[in-house]
Amino acid sequence: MAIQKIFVVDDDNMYATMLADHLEEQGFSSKTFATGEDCLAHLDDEPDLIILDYYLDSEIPGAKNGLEILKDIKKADEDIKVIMLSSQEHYGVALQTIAKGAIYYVIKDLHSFKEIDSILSGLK
Amino acid sequence: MKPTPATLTERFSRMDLFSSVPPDILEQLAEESDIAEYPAGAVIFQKNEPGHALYVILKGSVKVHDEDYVAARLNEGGCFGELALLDEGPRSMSVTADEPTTLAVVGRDVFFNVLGSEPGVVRKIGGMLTRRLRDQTDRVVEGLRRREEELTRLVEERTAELNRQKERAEQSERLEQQFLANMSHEIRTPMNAVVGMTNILLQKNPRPDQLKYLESIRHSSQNLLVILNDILDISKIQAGRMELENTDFELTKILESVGSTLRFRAEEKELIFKTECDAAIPPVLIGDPVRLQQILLNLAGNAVKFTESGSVSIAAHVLDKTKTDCRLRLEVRDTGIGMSPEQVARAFESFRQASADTTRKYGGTGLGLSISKQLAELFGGSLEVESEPGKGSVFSFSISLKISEKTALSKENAAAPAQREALKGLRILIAEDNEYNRVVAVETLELMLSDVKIETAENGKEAVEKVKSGAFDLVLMDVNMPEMDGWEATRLIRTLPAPLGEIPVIAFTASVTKAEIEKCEACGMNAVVPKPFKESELLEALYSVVGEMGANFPRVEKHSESSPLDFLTELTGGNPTRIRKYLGLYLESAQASFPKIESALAANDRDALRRAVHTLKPQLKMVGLPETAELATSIETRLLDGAEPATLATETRRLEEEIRRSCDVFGNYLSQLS
Repeated sequence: MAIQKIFVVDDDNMYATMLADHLEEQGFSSKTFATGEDCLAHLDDEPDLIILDYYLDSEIPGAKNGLEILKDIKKADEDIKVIMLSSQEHYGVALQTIAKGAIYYVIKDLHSFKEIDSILSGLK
Repeated sequence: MKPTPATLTERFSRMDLFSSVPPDILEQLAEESDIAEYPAGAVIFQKNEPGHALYVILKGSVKVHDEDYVAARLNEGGCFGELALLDEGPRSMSVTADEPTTLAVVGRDVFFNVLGSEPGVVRKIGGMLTRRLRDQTDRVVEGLRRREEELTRLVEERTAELNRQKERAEQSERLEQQFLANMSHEIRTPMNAVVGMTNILLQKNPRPDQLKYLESIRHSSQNLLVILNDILDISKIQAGRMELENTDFELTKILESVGSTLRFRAEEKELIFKTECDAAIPPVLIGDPVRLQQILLNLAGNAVKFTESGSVSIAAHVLDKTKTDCRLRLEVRDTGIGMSPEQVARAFESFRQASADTTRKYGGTGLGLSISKQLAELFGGSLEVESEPGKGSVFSFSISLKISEKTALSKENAAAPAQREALKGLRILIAEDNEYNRVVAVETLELMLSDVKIETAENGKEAVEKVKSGAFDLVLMDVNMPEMDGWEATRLIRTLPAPLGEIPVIAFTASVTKAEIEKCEACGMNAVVPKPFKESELLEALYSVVGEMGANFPRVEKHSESSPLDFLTELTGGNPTRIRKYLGLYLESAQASFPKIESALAANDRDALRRAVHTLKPQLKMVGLPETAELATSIETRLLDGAEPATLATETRRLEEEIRRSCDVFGNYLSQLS
């Protein structure tokens, strides 16, 4: 199934905007959400892929963190592919997310956009 | 058969001496001459007898001699006595007949009466004498010349020999110095590794059985170090290489230090341990505190060792004091086993304790007292002992020290935690060729400082390459490495353009002699730490070189040709609208972070601070501020490790400062674009 619609879930407005713009440029349609809860509420938009930040309560205290949202997404729709984003370089966390159903774990550094590009082209 | 006058005349006429004389005069001479006969061995005349005749040998032979020295032997036709005949002086030689000899004796009066008007004869005699004199003179001069040549040759040989000896002595001295330095290095290097690694293992939660063995290793290696240091010290002193330092020190601190080292041992044996310091002693003196402490520790250590009950006390009294100098008497008194007069006499000899039994019972190298005695002498004093078996001993020495102008020395120990704090996050390059030492250094630094990033290099060449990368704040440089040593590497580093070339370099060396230190200073090193190093010394050196700013020390960054907006430019394909948009978003986020950070600091709220800092990280990277991103990361990591926001106030404020600056820069940029 080709990827068309992508959600970007990150409370980091700057990064989310940049990523969404970039994805639009690559030919995808994308939407951004600042919280996981917001994203879950819009799952009937039928996104093909969700790019999800791990540390979601960095701006908004009390919001569910990325791992919990990942579980919720998978519960709601198994087929949605999820890429985890984080600025943490902990591979222990990475393994956890993969175990919970994420297909990739991308670190938010200067290479992240290129990495996401290649993951997406690999999925075609 | 007695010769006749005719025969005599004929004989005379054949003589060269009379060749100018007409025959009738010769006849007359022959008639008026006497004939004398001598048997073999007869003395014709003695040296120093007055001369009065000329003698002509008609038959036989004589020897002209002075004691054993035979000057000439004369045969038939020869004549002698002519010198004495002419000058009336004593004869210079004796004449003895070798065989039966017949002589014609021409008396002086006869000679001159008959031959007086024959000048040729006197001329002949004069010629003979002159020739003889000339020959003698020539021989003497020749002799003198040869003697002079020989003496000159001897002097040259001797000088060459002395020069050789001098060179040999100098080379021997150099080799000895080198040997001492090498031995010191060779011995201390593996000891460094053993002691360091043992300490590290002890800190890694060993099993109880492992703990037992490790303690044993540590105890043994400490003992070994003491013995080795004793041996190295005594070699150094005996080679005349021991030099005393001249630094400020507090005598009270030395006595306290010795006391605290020995108090436990003393209390175990239920001994009273006292230290007394005369109130008149100036607070700060100038001298060598390490060696002074060594003496007192040795004496007091012995005292505790050899005392079964009673007390040990160390006392310092002023004997004399001027404005600039102070004469002290230091004594160590005990109520121990004491020494007999014989033992006292032998007390200070190396390798001898009171008896072999003592060594076996009490241990030790036996060198300590000898070293103490020689050290005391270096200080200008003399170690004396008074002792009585069963009663105890008093060891004492008096020294003169200069008085320092300071009234107190800063407390260094208390500063350590603050120093450690300031050095957090430091990026250190360790250049060390020896694997064991590398491991010890890395582990020690990691245990000593938090958040320190360490890389290693195996030689000077590698070190220089790594410094060029700009990834370090400081270099710990071993001086002895293969391929390129630490001095050469530092010299090369100092030629790099600023700020790379200005990176602080601390030298690590096993031999800390004055010459070595000068060499380190000359090539641009900032500090020297001796191996095996004490943590406190290393800390001091790091702090002194990197200073209050610690990890905030102006970071040595690689000179970058790039602009902060490279990433955004590349991502957007240079699209100015998008660049502006994203910069705007950054500025929004940055501005929003300040109040969040401030309130988090004010409330000491770890989570709030972490949240505020977390978001900034990727944003800072994207606007081309990787170092600031690093700072944010390090703050976040420390918060995750449980640090209190209050302890990170300095770094956090610095982060704010850098973000504020970036806002100014980008703000200006944006306003220029629109």
